[in-house]
Amino acid sequence: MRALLFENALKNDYTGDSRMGFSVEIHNGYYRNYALSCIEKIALWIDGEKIAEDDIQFVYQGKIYRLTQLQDQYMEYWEVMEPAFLKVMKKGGLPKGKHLVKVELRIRVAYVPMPFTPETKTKEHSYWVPVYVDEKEYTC
Amino acid sequence: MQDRIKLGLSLYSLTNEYYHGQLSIEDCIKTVKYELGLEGAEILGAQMLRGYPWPSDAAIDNIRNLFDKHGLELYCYAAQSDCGKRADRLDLSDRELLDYAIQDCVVANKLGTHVIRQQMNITPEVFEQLAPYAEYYDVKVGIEVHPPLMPSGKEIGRFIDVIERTGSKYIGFVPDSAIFSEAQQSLQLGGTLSNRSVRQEVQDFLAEAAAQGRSFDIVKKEIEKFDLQKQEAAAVQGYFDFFSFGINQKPDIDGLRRIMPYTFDVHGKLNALNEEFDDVVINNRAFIEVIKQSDYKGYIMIEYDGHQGNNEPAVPLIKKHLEFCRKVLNE
Repeated sequence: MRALLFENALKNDYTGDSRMGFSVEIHNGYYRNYALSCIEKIALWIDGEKIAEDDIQFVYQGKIYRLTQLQDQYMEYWEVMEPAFLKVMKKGGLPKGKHLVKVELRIRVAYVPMPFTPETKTKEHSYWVPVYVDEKEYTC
Repeated sequence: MQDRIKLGLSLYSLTNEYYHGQLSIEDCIKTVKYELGLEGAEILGAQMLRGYPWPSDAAIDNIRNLFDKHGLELYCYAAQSDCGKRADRLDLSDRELLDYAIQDCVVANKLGTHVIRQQMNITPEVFEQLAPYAEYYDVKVGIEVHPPLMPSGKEIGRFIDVIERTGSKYIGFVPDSAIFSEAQQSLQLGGTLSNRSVRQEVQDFLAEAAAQGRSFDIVKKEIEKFDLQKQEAAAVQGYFDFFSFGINQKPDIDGLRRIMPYTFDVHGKLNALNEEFDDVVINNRAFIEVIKQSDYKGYIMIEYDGHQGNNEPAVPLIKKHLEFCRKVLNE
């Protein structure tokens, strides 16, 4: 498995001089690219506290999506070597110091229909849905 | 070695080295050409061709130029039909599957390659409709024949019917040597299940069952005792459906012989080596023998699946396996 979180993934975000939130850089976790519509779930915890879905925006190649919009993006592919960012609005950002970041990413592997055996293959399938979890500590 | 059969490498074999940043795409190409001494390679669009399935001309030119620069033949473009990409419904329609398959032909043509490895997700009906487009773009589209589907199975039989009925020389197959697996791919268990929140005791149970070569039906029944959580059940089902290649299965020699006249490319699958430098569970020797006995002219494209399982560095392992392949080809 490839990590979701790499070095320096956590940063406070500023609007002018004001700290207005923070961002977490994440990678797609898989060996190939996939459509953003294949993201079934993204969850983020900071220091053990789960961030509300509504407070997270997914930023990819400069485009910003609310998590509820991702399911519609079947023409937009997330490249293997290209990061995305989870942008969280939080006035004051994160206090200086160490923070534990945990990310869970659940994806639908769209080219692996299941079941996929001669006996059971039907027109409609469900799909393989691996879950990736990564956790790292950062200083910001 | 018989000149008509060459050895090549699917760049997918270098997945770990690539996505951990140790090798760039150019480094992968140089590795194949200079370190492994091979003449041809396959590229997996979804992995190394930026923008797949609609890469820009600049992205295509970049790949083409890198292959040209190092004199490596880009023999095959591997496409993946993402039939489950839409969240609002389960499968793409035949019309959509055809649209994407045609797009893959366009890209292969621009890349200057004449072979596509396409997946079984396209239906025989789409396969038939694709034939004139494949001819137009001068690309031979081979359906990957990979377990759990077998060359002598009913599903592949429907594709053979289309090929024989249409007489098209542009639709055919890319058999993968995993169809010659003789035991469960237990080495893949770790990579398949460990990162997907499957309890260790369940993994141990499956590994033991695989090692003992126990009946698949019995294993499926017995695993119910673990009362699997939803995501565990999904991961285990994925293992059963996609990675399990039958236990104590006999190589489908007759089936492979049947499809060889329609074969455009061949995948030599590799997970881990035995003492002879063949795969531990795939009988590549028997697989290569069938290819030698056929009239096939093209590559055996080695595909090392290490990132899914043992994670051993690719290059030393592939070098040893190439020794084995050359020996078998020359026997």
